[in-house]
Amino acid sequence: MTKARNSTLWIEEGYNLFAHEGPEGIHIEKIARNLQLNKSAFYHYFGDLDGFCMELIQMHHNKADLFLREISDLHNIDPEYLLLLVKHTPTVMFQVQSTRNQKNYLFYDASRSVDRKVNIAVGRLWREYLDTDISIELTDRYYNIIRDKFYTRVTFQNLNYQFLHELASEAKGILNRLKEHKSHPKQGTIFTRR
Amino acid sequence: MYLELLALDLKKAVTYTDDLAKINTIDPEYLELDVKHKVSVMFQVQLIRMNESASLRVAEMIDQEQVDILRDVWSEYLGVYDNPDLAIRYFVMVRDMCYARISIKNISTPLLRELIAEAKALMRRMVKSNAALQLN
Repeated sequence: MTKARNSTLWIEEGYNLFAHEGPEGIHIEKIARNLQLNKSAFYHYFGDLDGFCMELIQMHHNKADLFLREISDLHNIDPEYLLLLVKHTPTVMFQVQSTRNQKNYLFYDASRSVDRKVNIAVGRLWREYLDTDISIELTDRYYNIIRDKFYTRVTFQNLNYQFLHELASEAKGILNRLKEHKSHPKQGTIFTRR
Repeated sequence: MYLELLALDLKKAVTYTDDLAKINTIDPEYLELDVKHKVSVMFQVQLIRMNESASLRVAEMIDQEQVDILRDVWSEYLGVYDNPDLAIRYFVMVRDMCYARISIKNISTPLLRELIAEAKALMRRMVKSNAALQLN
């Protein structure tokens, strides 16, 4: 087995553990045990845990780039983008864990960077999905709220099409209700006391 | 041990919701209450993230109680006087957004104020924008 192949095994296992458990999952002994390898190899390849974490972040950027390339081929949020999220579950969950662990700046900064790229990539599809003429700035800011709700609620177990469809539908439903409300002023006027 | 922790959380949640029932404003009273009860709030966030049935049940129960208590005061804060159902659906979104952005270290009244004021401003601008589009 080549050195590169062997170090990739460590990184892939670490990536998977981080996606499931966050930084608490990254223990050299645990990774070595899962791979049935001697942990001295870890120090040979990565030097220390910080070096290993940098490799994990690099792998996340690579996987996120792949995810972003696939977004460019999509035509809609529901079902295509939602199914893409499910297809990339480990990458999505690594992103979620990085976002949740704000005290770990390296991972958190990486997650912010990936968020910014995804926001740009998915923006047009999101606006089309909402079916609204309100400004790009507003739909983008609304997207950030929905994305962060997703970060709070998602787990490996519930990251499936149904969960995502319900979340997206609720976001769209709230916006539609705003429209309906204004178009039927006699039923009551938002922002106005009776 | 885990079940004992859940039971303790429920006890703390009762104290939290008792305090919640006394508030009249989102800003500053609700925000200050969340900071005062930050351990309970962060415990709630962790329960949601665990996605284990017992913890989720407890979390949902506390969330629902919070929603019931805050319905009117949140509608008032948002300015959605005639549609509390819509207002509270938006509250659930905003609350979960806050859960993603807070931590035991950074939770503070100014941070929470910034997050919910931004959400309120966004809601108002979306409504105004929709109204303007319908007039055109």
